[in-house]
Amino acid sequence: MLYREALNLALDEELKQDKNLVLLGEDIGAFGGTFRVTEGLFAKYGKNRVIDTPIAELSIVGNAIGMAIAGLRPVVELMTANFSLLAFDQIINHMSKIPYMSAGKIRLPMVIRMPQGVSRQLGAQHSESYEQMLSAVPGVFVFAVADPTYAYHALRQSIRMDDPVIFIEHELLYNKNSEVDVNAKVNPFKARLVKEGDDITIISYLKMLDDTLTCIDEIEKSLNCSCEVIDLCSLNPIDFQSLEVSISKTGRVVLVEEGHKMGSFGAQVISWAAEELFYLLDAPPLRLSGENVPIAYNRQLELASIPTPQSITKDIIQWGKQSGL
Amino acid sequence: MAYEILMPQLSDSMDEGKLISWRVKPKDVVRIGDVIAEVESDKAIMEVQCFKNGEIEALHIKEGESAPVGTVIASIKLSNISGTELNEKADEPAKEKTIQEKELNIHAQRQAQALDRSMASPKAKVLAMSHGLNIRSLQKVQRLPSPSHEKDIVYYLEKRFFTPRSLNLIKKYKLDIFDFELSKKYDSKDVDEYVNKSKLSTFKPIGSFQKALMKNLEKSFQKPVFHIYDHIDSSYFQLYKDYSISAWLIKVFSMAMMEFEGFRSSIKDDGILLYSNASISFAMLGGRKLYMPVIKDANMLSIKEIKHALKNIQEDINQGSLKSSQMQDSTFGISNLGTTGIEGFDALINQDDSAIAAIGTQIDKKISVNLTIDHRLIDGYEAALFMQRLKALCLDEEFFKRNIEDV
Repeated sequence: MLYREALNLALDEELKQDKNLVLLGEDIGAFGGTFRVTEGLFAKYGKNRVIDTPIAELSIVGNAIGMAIAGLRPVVELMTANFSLLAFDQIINHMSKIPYMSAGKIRLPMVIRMPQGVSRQLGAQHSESYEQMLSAVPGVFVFAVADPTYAYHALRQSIRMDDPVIFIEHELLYNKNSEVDVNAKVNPFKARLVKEGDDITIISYLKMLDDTLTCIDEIEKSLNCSCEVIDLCSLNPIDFQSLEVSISKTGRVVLVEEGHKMGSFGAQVISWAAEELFYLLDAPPLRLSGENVPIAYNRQLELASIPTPQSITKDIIQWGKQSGL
Repeated sequence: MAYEILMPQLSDSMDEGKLISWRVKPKDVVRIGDVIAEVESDKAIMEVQCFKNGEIEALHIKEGESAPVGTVIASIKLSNISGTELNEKADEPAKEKTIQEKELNIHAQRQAQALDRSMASPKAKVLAMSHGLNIRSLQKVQRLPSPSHEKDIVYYLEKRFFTPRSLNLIKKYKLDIFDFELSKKYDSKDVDEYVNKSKLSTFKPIGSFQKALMKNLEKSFQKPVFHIYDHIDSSYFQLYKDYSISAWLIKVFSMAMMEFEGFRSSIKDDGILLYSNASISFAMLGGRKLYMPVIKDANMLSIKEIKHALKNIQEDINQGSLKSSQMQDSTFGISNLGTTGIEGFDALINQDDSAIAAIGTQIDKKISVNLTIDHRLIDGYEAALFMQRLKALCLDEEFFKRNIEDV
């Protein structure tokens, strides 16, 4: 099943079961969604439950917050994370704070879905990653979805939570195909162990996870070691417990992310490792991130500004050789 | 400020080194990473590098002389100027160094700084500390690399506290060097003692012979089999004991097999292969290994020839010269545990055989015969008749006499 089909199935099943669930966003109704995630739902559930909104992100999220206060369970689709900036006041000043400021009397059972990241030549204003800013907002859960099975389960569970959730997808993952086990027991807050290994813990999420996985064979062969690969899944809160188990075993940690290196989300993970696991580390932590430049339109420059399978392989091997591997 | 360069320890067993040649002379400007001398250890000639920037003040030993590890061999007047400035000062061609070389130089500098600060990973430091190692001084005499990692400390501890043989044992028993109190050098005897004392189980990889055997056994176990239990009379085996019970069994079974073709057949690919003669696989021991060599066309052999065949095969097994061709083309097996006093047992069918007979010991002139039979080839009635025939042959004195006379 495709990643977008897994999301569609999750929405469909929840819409079927919960009459209070509504979807809202730009072009999600008659058109089926920019990335075809809501395809078929408009015909099935009608315009009152799958709502096409004007192009006005601040109002979309604001409306959703109002709906949630009034007892509905809204799921917002923002076309991309880049446009979520327009809704940041609603997200930060209202969505994240109302439950706290009302001493928990008002709950906000809502989800904001949005894809982010570098796609193929969409230009600087359509290629950003904002998980670092969104994870820095107390009061919202942030999930990053790299895998169809996780997408299906995490979305269903996010919808059922009574707290606001930011659900980050990636533009290049919508057509990722893999088996979806609808009966799997998935805890959306738990990091996913993708591959076991003994010598290096490689942490990633979203598209960079897939890119990293394609490099593992060569890295292992070249360094004569074995890598453990972890899909972080939940960015806020972070499943530090799973990371600690892995890093305690390997003594080496690498984080691969697409966002710009300055102020990146991965810095948070590395900082935690240095603070909490210092005496277990057998090598300086390695963080592979995007360059500190707006993403260029030119394909060569676009690829040069983020980690690619080639650069990930080269950088990890070079680091490994200098770090006692 | 003078910095002293010591005779380095270049191998574990090196006590002293012979200075083969100096690459520098007094007043020479040296940089980090420069080779200043060649030293011969007990194993090989190796280069000695410089870890400081400065000017050679004096060389304390001459070419061709030997000195114990740790002796001062040269001293350097340290310079305060940075490596790059030094480069420019030292010689003109340095200016032409490529960027790459400069980068290398920076790397060497970092290495040297690392040495000064005894650079090691936190994990390595914790490990070294818990074993009372001083990383800095070990790095100075090049017993530890810089930066040091966990595996370097472990390697050092291994070399220091264990003989190569004892390390092999530790690997074999899947032990950890930290199972031992690291206060003295351990040899293989100590590790053996530890293993005995702690009653460890040992691990032995499965050899290719054993793997093939295991695969065959698994295949045998999957066959749809049934069993028939009965006894044969052993009076005549006793009477004619010039020949072993094994030889007589092969003779008797081969004769019975000639009358029941199911016992001479074997499933091959999509068909059933029917043999015109009775070839029997017979379980024999070589050391602790079990072999199933085949007595081919046993029905055509006299009892004396069977005796010889068994003897020859046993010799082949003992010398390890049994060929795989000697273990093929049987359709029936015999496993005789009678000599061990066992009353009776079941056996697994050998390879593509149709059945196997498990032979027990003699009790009151009777021997237990348990047949394990592949139901795809032989049905219960045929098996019962086969057993009947077998019992009749064992009671037929004429049969025994005739065989003796044939000889």
